[in-house]
Amino acid sequence: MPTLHGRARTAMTPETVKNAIRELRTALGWTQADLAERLDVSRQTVNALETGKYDPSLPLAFRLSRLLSRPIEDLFFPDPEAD
Amino acid sequence: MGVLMPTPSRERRVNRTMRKFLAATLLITAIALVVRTLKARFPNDFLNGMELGLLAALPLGMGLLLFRAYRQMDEYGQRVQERASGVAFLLSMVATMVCTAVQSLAGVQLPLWTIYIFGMLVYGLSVLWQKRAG
Repeated sequence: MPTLHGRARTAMTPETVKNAIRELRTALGWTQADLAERLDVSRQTVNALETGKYDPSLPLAFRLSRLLSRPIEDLFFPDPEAD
Repeated sequence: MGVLMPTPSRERRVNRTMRKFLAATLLITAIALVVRTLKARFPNDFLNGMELGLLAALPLGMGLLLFRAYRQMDEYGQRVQERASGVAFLLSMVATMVCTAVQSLAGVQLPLWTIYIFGMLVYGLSVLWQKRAG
């Protein structure tokens, strides 16, 4: 049973988040520029998202979810190798 | 009925604003240089005032267009600009403090533009670094 202090530490530990944007995009046959156009963001933003350099805001995550027809938790998930 | 034009992509909108920004900066700088040259040949109050006005308009115009470009950027672009500006501001403040100390202790007079060049250099490098490192 973790202590309160232990739980607090676990909750505060930053998790590395991975995503499946590149796989889903290529499955649809879209280029980064195509996805950027549909999301109304720059191609650099799509690249930063796919390479994990940038975690999107909630509104952008919801737009991605709608566009790729997947729930957000299928798009973004904790990196199992980070533990 | 007007013809419906497709909305230009965000990148194109930002690039267009940046092109306008560069053109305006070059135009105002060119006019300021012409006015300065004229003032050197025919010194008078009108050209003095015009030069002062242009020098005041240059940073204001640059600031306005940069703000417009920032507003048109997406969230990632805005974050990059915010971080780069923050780092450049902080290091420029440190550089200003160092320059002030050097001036008062060593008596060396450093021109103000060195701070400007330093700040812009840090800003540019910070943007590049963030785009590489994320």
